[in-house]
Formats: sequence, C-alpha cells, structure tokens
Amino acid sequence: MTIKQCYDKMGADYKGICERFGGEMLVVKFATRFPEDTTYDRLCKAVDEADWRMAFRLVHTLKGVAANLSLTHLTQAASVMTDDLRDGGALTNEAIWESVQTCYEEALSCIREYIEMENIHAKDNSDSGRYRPE
Amino acid sequence: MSETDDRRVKVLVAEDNGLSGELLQAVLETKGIESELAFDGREAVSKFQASEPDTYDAILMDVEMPLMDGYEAARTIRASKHVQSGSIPIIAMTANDGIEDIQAARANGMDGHIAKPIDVDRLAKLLTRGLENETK
Repeated sequence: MTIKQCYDKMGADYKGICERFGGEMLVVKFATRFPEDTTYDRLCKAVDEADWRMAFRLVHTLKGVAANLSLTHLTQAASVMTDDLRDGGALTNEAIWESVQTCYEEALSCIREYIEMENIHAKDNSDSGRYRPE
Repeated sequence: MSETDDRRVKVLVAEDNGLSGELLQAVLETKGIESELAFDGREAVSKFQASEPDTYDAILMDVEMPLMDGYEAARTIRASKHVQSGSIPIIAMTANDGIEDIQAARANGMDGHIAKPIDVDRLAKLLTRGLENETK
C-alpha cells in the first residue's frame, strides 16, 4: 500500500497535503505518527465525564491535527462538534460525537494498515526527544 | 527581518499539540525558516521575555492553548518590557478563518492571522517579506 492509496482509502486529500508539504516525504513522516497523538483519547474521557469545556478544547485541537494532515472527513466532523460546543454548553446531538468517532476510527484504521504493510516503526520515524506526547 | 540579513529567519511557535507543532517546524524548515516550540501561551511569553533582542523575528501563536491562551499571551507580550514587545510580528494560528477570528486577533495585539491547515507558502511570505502589506 502506498501513502497515496492510504489517503485515497480514507477519503483524505493526498494532492492537497503533498502540495502543502512540498512532496510525499513529510506526509509519510507525520501521517504515520497520527496514532501516537493522544488528543482523541483525552476527548473520549472528556465526553464521558461531560466536561464540555475540555471537550471543546480537545475537539478543536483534533480538528487542527486532522486539518494539518488533510484528513478531510475527520476535519469536517470535528469542525461540526467544535461549533456545537463553542458556546460552552453540552453537546446538542449525540450523532455529532458519533460522527467524530467514526471518522477518527476510519482514519486510524487506514493509517495503521499502511504502517503495518510498510513495516514502519514509530521510533524510526520521529525526532527522538523532541516529541512531547500530551 | 531585513532581506539583506545573512542569518535565517527564526520564529517562536506556540502550539500545544506536539504533532502539529513538529509538523509546522518541519514545513517551516523546508522554507529555510528556523523555529523554536513553546507548548502553551505561558511558555511562549517566558521564552520571548527571556530572549535576547532579535532572537525571534516573529511569533506564530495558536489561540486555543492550556494555561494561557494565545490572545492573553499576545497581550502579555505587547505589555512586556522586552525591547521588541511592540514591534515583533505576532501571527495567530487558528482552525477557523472567519472574520471574527481575524478581528479577535487584531483586537488582542496580533498583526496577522492564518488558518489551519497552514498554507506554508503564504506563511513563508508573511515571515520573509514582512507583515505590513500581506496581512492588511
């Protein structure tokens, strides 16, 4: 599987990200680090605890990460949830959160499949010491 | 940020998400722009205030950050006694590009606004050709 096939499979914007990154090398480097990012796990916890202020901040961050990686579906779903929580209130519609979950799992699954098929190890693909997991 | 300056442009990047921060550093590097990361607004303020004059040519400031958000950090930098407090360009980075985001950035002392995903070419122009004409 190529990174283009991975992006195509998850409906992400391969052409756009290659243009922004000036080629494919950085796409591979950073897309394969997406599973390391803990924002989604912390968002799940915030939603479980109905901590909507924290959920807003985290879904906003998730939207930024997804947008930077041109994960189109996840960006759109997170954007809807960000707008819904912006006023500080509770989530108005459970389907909004379900959409974020679906899009995240879809992206994660495709990227993990790519990592496994290409036998990429995260430690080989990061600048040691500079990445600070949240 | 003189074009005759031999040294590379260096920016302080305030971004609380590690992956997004490193990604931004990597794409800035492709444009020959050096950068240093701060993981929240408070750290950005500390790094700026502790810096020697002209260490940084600009600050890229995420807005939604823990401990101190980007707006408060920008106001704090503008009110500081650092020799560049009033002059260093501060560019807001947000996941939104609505007019209210641009107005909020300006109201909090920032010079420009750029939406995520970052258009690196536009950002590089902002940083290397000066903010004056690009962001107004």
